[in-house]
Amino acid sequence: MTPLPNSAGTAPLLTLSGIQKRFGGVVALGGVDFELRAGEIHALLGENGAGKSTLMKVLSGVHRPDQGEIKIDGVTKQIRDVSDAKRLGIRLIHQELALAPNLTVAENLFLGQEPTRFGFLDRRKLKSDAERLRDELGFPELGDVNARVSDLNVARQQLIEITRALAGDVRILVLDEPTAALSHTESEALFTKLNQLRERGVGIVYISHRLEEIKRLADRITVLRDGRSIGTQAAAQLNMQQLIQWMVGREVTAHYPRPQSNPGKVALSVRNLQGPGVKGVNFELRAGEILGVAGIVGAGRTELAQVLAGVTAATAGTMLVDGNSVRLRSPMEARAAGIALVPEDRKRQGLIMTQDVGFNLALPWTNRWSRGITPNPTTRRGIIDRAVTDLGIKTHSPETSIGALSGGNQQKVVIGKWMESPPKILILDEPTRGVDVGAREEIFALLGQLVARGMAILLISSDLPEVLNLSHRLLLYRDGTVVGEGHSSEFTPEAVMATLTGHHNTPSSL
Amino acid sequence: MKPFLTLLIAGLAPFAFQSCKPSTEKSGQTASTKMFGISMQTLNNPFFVELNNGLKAAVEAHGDHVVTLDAQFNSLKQKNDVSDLLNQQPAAIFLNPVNWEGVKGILIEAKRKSVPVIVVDAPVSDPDLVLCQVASDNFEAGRMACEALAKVKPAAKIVVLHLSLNRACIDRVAGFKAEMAKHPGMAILDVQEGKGSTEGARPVMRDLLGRFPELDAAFPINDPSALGCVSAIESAGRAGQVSVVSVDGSREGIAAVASGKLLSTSAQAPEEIGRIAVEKAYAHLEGKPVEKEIKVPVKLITKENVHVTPEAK
Amino acid sequence: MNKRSIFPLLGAIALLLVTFALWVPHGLFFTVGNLLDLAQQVSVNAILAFGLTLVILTGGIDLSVGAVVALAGVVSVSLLGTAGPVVGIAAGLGTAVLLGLGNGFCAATTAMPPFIISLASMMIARGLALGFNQSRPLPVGNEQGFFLAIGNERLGGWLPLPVLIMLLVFVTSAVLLHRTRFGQHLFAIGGNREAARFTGINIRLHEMVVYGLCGLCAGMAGMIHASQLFSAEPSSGQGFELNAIAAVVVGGTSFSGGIGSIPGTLLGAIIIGILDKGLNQAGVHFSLQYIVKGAVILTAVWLDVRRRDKK
Repeated sequence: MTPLPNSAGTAPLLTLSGIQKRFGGVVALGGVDFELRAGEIHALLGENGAGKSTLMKVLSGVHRPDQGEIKIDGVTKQIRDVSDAKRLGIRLIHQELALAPNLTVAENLFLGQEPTRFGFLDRRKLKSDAERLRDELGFPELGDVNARVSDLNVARQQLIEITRALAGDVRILVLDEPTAALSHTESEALFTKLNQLRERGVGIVYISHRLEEIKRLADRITVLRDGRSIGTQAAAQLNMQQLIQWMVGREVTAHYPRPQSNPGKVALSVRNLQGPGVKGVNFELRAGEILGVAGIVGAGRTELAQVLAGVTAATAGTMLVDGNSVRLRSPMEARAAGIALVPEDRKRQGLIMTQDVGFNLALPWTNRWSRGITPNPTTRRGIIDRAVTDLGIKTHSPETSIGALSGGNQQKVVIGKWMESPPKILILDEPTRGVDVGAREEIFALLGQLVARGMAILLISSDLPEVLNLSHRLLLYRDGTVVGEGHSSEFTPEAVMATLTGHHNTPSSL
Repeated sequence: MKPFLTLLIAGLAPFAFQSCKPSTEKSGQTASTKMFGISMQTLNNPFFVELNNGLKAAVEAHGDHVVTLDAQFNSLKQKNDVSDLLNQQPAAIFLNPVNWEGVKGILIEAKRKSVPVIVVDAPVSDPDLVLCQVASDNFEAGRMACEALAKVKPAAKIVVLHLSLNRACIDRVAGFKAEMAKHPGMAILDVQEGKGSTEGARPVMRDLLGRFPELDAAFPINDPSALGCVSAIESAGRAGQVSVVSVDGSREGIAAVASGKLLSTSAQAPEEIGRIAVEKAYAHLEGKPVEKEIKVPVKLITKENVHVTPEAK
Repeated sequence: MNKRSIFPLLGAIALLLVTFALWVPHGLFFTVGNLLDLAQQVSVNAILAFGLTLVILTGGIDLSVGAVVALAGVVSVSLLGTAGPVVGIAAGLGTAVLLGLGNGFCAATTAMPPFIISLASMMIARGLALGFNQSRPLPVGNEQGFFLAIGNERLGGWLPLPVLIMLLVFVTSAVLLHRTRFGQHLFAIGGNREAARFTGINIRLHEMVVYGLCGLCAGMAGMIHASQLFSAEPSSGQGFELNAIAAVVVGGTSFSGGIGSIPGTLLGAIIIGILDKGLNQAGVHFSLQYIVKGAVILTAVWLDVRRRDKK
C-alpha cells in the first residue's frame, strides 16, 4: 500500500455516473451516481434491495454494468473482471467472512499466493511475510500470525480480511456491513483502524444499516433507493429526518392497499417466548389480521419465525394456538397445530429444486392423493391445478422444472403448497425477497384474500413500506425482542426506522 | 420406443434362433480346435500362473485352445465365470476352486450340460460330481515340512499361517500335525489366517512375533505367505531365530531357501499337475476310464539340495 | 422416473447385446439359455442395487451391504440344520435388517456422515461373519432342499428362482419409490433435506426405514448367494457394494440424491452384467475387463450429468 497525500480538492478518486444494470427483466441499478474522494469515508445507505450490493459488485468487477461510466482519478476505466478491479486498487470486504477457519492467520493472508521453496511451502517466509505486512500496516492487534483462525474472535477475523485486502496497492476499500457480527468494543477497534486508513488517503466505501455508526464515521453519506442514488449529504450537516425520508421515501399508500381488517378471536398467543436468538417475545395474533414484524438485518426476525414454526425448539415461554398450549419440536408438530411457514430462503428451505412444480405443490398432501400403493393421479392433479389457479402461478405445465420459474412464481409455489387445506396461522419470512414488482402485488393480493377468509398472518419483512402498508398491526423487532407495538396507521416510516436503528430517543436532533 | 424395440428384436432374432438348435452341424468346422475352459481361484500367485501355463501348454500341444478366467478369490465370480465357460461349449473344464464347499452349484450345472470337470490342485467336497482330481500330495507336503523342521528344532514353538478356506491348505496342515505327533517336544502356539499372500501374512506374523517371545518356528501354508513371514521376522529383528518351513517350491521360495531365509519348501510341480490333468481330460474324451484321484508327488527342498534341483523351478 | 433417462439405457443395452451377439464366437451369446444365465448372474447385484438406490436417493450411502451379504448367509446357514429353513432365513434377514436399522439410526440422529457410519458397520458385519466357524465356510447340507432351491431351482424348468426373487424385489421397490407417499418423500429428502423438513416430513423415520430396507435387500442377496454356493462363506461379498453402486449410478441415480429410479437401476445392473458376461465369453483378458467396465461407468455417468445440465 502506498500512502497518498490527502488529495481533497483535486479530481475525485472515484466517480461513477449513470451506472445501470439489469438482470433479465429486473432493473437492479437504474442510474447511480457516486463519488469517492481519497482520504474519505463515504457511507452508502439504503434498504434491502436498494442496489447497494449490486453497485459494489459492479465496482469490484463481479458484474459488468450495462451502461454508465467509471472514472478513477478523472480517467475513464473499464472494469471487466475481478482482476481488473484489483489492478486498479479496489478491494471489497464481504459481509460474510471468506476465511478458511482451519488455517492460520498467515496462511489466510497469503492464500493462493503462498511463498514456496523448491516447490514446497516455505513456512518460515510465510510467517515473516505475514509479520512484515502486519507491522507495516500497523495492525499489532492481528497478533500471532500462526494462530488458527477458528480460535480467534470475529473482530480479529475481520482484521485478517482487512489486512488481506490491504496487501498490495490499495486505493479504494469497500466494506459491506462490517459490524454485523461485531460486538460494541470490536466495532470500536474497527473504526479506529478505518480512521487510520482514511488518514493515509485510502478512499473507503462503508455500507451499513446502522445510522449511529455512519454518523460517527462517515464524511459523506449517499442514499440509494430502488437502484438509484437519491442524494448525498455531508455528515457534518447530517439531517436524520431527511436521511430516513430518502431511505423509505416510497409513496406510502399507492401500491399496496391494506387488506380489509377482519380481526376475530386470538389465534396465536405468545408469552415470554425464548429460543436461539429469541429473547423473550410477547404478542397476540388474531384470526383475520396481518401482524407485521419490522426489523433491520440482524434483528433476529428469522430466528423468531423458526421458533414459531417449530424449526428450532423454544427454550422457554408458552405458545397458545386457539387457546391451547402447544410445544413445537418439529415443523411436523407445527403443521399439526395449524402453523405453516413460508421460509426466508425459498431455494434452500422452501422448494425441492430437483423436482417439478407439481411435485412441490403436491408434496405436503401425499396423504390425500397417495394411499397405499395406488396413488390417485386425479386427486393429485386436482390439488396442483387448484393451487396453480388460485395463486395464479405462471407455469407452462405442472411438469415444468421448478428452477425454470421466476422468483415470484417460485414464491407462489412455496405459499401455494399449503393452500390445499389452509393453516390457521401463516408465517411469511421475507416473502417478497427477489420477487419482481408485479408478482409482489399478486402476493399481497393473495394475503388479502387469506385474511378475508379468516387466516391469521404473521408477516416478517425488512422492507419497511411493505410491512407498514400491508399489516394491520405492527411489531417493531430489535435484538431478539419486541421494542414497539401498535396499529400500523399510527406509525410513520421515519419513526419506525428510527426505532429499529436505535434512534428513537433523538430522531430529529441528528 | 416401440418401433425401436421391434427393430431390436427383429435384428437379434436370427441369433436367438440359430442358437436354439444345437449347433452340431456347425461344430464340423470347429471340431478341429476344441476349447477347454480354465477357472483359477487366483492368478496373483506364481504357483497358479505356472499351473495355468502347464494346462495351456499341454492343451495347445494337442492343437486346441484354452480360455482362462481369474476368480480373484471370489466364489460368486467363479460360479459366474464357469457358467460363462459352460455356455461356450467347452470340451472340458479345469477348475481350481476358491471355496471347496462353494463349487457344488458349478459342478451340478456342468453335469447337467455333460461337460467333464477336472479339479486341479485343490480338492472339492463332492468328488462324485467331477471327472477326477489332480493335486499335489498336500498331506505329504505338510508332513515333509514338519519333518524338516524337526531335524533342526525338535522342540519348536510354532505358529501356523493358515488359508482355512482352501482344502489343499487344510490337508497340508493336517499332514504337518500328523508328523508333529511323532515329536512330542513340538507345540503349536497359535493358528492364524495368513490369507495365503505376502501382504496378508506379513502383518499377521508381526503381531504373532510380538505376542509370543518364545516363538521360534513358523509354518505358512504357501510360499507367498512364507515370504510375508520372513519379511515380518526380519523387520522385528529376529532373523535367524525363527525357522520358516513352507509348501510350494515357487521360484521365489526356492531363492529364499538358497539364501537361508526359508528352512525348506515342499516343492509342488504345478506344470506337471497341469500336464497330467490335460492328459486325463483327453483320455476321457477318447472314452478311456480315468482314475478319480491323482496325487502328484512333492519334493522337499532344503539348503542341501537347492542347487541340484534346477528342474524344480 | 422419466422416459428421457430410461431410453439411453435401453439403447446402451441394445448396443451391448448386438455387440456381444456378433463378437462372442459361434453366436453363443444371444441364446435363450445364455440370457437366462445372464439374468441369474445379475440378480444378486440388482437386489443389492435396489436397496442402495433408495439410500442414495436420500443423499446417503451404505457401504456395508457386501459384508451383510456374508453375515446374513452365515447366520442363516448356521441355523438351518438345527432350527430349520424358516427360522434360519428369518434370522439371516433379521440380522441384515437390524444392521441396516443401525446404520439408519446413526445417520438419522447424529451428524456422522453415512459414508463413515456404513464403513464402520461394514467392518463390524465382516468381523461378525468371520467370527462364525473360525472363518471357514459353512456347508449347506444336501437335505436342505428348500434353502438350496432359492439359488439354484429353475421354475418350470427354465426361470431361475433368483431371477424371480429379483423381479419381485424390483416390482416392490419400484412401487414403493414411485407410487407411494413414502417414495415421494424420499425424493423430497434427497432433493432438499431442509425444505423437506420445513414441509413437515419426518426425516428421521424415513432414513431409518430406508437403511433398514437396504439391509433387507442385502439379506435377501445373502440368502441367494449362500444357496448358489451351497455354503455360507464368511469372506464372500467383498466389493459387492461397489458393484451395486456402479449399477445405481449407471442407472441414472444422482449420487448427491434427489434424482433416480428403480427401473434405471435395473437397467444399470443389466448393463454391468452384460459387460461381465460378454467380455468373459468373448475371451477378453480379465485385466482388460476391469478397464472396460471403468470406462463404461465413467461414460454413462458423464452422459447423464451432461444431459441433466442441459435441462
